[in-house]
Amino acid sequence: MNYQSYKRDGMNEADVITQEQEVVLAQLGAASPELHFFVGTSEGTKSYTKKELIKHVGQLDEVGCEFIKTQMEFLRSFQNGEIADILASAVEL
Amino acid sequence: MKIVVATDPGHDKATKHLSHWMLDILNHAKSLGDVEMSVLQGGDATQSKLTKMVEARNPSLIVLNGHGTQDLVMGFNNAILVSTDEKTLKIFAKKIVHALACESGKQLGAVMIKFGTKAFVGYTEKFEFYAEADPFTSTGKDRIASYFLDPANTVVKCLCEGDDARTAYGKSQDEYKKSLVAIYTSTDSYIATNRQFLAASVWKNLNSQTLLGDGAATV
Repeated sequence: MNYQSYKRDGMNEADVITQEQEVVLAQLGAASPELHFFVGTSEGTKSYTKKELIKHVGQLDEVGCEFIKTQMEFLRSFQNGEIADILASAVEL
Repeated sequence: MKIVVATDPGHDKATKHLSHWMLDILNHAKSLGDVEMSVLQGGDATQSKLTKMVEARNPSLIVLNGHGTQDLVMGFNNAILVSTDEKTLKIFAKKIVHALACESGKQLGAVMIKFGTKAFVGYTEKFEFYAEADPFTSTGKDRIASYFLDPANTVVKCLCEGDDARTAYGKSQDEYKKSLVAIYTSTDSYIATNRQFLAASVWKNLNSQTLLGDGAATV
């Protein structure tokens, strides 16, 4: 497994990974079927549909782990106010 | 006259999207009047042709569009265009380099600077984007891909306009932030449904974009 989760008090890494995987799978469930995601892999950049992303996240393979990492980092940035700061400063941009 | 050389392999779906946006850069360069841009497209995006082109044209800006890893950027059919191998780095000395390629800002950029590249703008993480249309069939700009590729290409446009590397980088960062705001304020149903995913990848690209070397360098 190449996914490094963020350690949390009182939880082992496997539990955290499972929890984050479930969060992302739930989010993907609500996505549009025509979603086209492009990301680099060890075999070059490829495109993935919603259905393919669900499969990769479910398998926790290279693409799935990268996708979970992106989503969780964004959620953390949302939680700590970084995204809100940018949205609030939109008038100045 | 500002001389620019770019690679545009366009051999798969991802690089074909980059090709679509390369046209936008080319049109912008033409409109400026003092920029001569040569693009190595498709099978011409090879290490040997890039070397010949750089030696013949002596550009002040080299734009690398293609797949990448932390220690290399690839050209047509993923053949190595430049790597941390000293032999491939010589042609980048005294130039500004923009690499729209995954992870090249992690190691390759620093090695380029060590071997004389003036300034490098690239990405330390995997560059991600979404698109709504097949690049083979779409006409005009893909409204989803534009959230990702317009900010990225702002660096090249601003450098062509005469901005220094630090200013071009800063304007690109601002464009990424504008993309975030646009995604969060859009009433389009597709964007609203997929807001979280689009915003997460814009956020990732914004944070992994890096400027190395001399920020005061100009084309």
